[in-house]
Amino acid sequence: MVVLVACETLLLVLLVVLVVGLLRSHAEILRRLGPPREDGDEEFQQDPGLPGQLRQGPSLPSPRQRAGGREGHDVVGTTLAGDAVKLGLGKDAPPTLLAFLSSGCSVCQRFWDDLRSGRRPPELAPGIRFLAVTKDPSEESPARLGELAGAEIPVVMSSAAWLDYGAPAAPYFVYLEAGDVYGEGSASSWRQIASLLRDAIDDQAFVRGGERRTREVDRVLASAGIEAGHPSLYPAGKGEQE
Amino acid sequence: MRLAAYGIALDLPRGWDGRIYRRPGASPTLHAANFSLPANDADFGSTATARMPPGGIFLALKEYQAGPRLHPGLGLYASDSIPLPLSRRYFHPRALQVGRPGQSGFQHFFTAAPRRPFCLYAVLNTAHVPLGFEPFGTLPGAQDQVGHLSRVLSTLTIASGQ
Repeated sequence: MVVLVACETLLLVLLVVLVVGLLRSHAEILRRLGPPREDGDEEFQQDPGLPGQLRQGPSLPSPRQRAGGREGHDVVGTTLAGDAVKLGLGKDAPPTLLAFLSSGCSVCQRFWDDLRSGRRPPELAPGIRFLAVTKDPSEESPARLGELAGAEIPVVMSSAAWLDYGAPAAPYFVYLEAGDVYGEGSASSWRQIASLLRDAIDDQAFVRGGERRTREVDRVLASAGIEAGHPSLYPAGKGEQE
Repeated sequence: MRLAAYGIALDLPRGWDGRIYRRPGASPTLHAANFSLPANDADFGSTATARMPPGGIFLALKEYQAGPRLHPGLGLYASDSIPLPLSRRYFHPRALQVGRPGQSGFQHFFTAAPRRPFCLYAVLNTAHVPLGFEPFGTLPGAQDQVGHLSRVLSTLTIASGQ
């Protein structure tokens, strides 16, 4: 009986030692692996079966410009009839949507079809001037573009405009207001373009709202005799110049 | 930025619209303005000038074809150049193709070398712009309009052939 109890005790001690050893080795493995990554599994990103965009890494594309963005450029080129044309995009220019299209891209085809049908897409507000911009006649066929555009679509052939606006590929859309770029990006449907326009207009309204609030605060302060530099505007009670 | 077609070339400042076109069977016409031009218009810009903002400048340069009743270098077309710099005195409401309040026009016929007869037609909208209100950032004050137009026209070149 004593021998049996001794054997069981010994077996129990061995089991405890074995479990402690396993736990320690597991903890060491976890320590060497480090904390879990938020950007996903490295093996997943290196899978050769995945599209290149997914394999490149975790960073997501962000809009290049938001409200109050870069200055636009006038568009100078030729029409499909060979006439010279310059579209001024200065401070007094109406809201304008430039559509960088080509005759060869399959996604552009639906835009050409929609526009050629003569129906202005409902997403494109009447006050917005629309212009299709293609590359120069040395890179595009005016005859083929004539078939695609019909008589309804204003087209300017200008490779210079593609460079000026950094259009990476067709289709690419740039929305301008008062001579500034307020939104740009690639789109495959009018719905996406509508979203681009809506974001740009909302962003601008947001900025204008801030300016309006600032003017209102200035007006109220001025009516109370508090102008810029007034001592009460500073916690220490000192004027701006001090 | 230089606009050029059919042997006519002109430098236009930033923000200006311009077009040099030719209707089937006709000679070229140039339109330029410091505001947005309509996609389609008559040769003397009756649509564009109808929507001219205060401070607006519009110019049309229309070429004619010589024939039995139009002799380049003679009569109405005897002048061989545009009288630059233009003077404010050249502009008058009676010179408008379509009379509109606040607008003044200027017409000048000339022959560019060697046998290209043209008519230059310019319109200014000199309507009063209230002080402190500038709705069109690139538009000049009334006294500057003629100077702007003269500077633009000074860059005009016309080749002997189309």
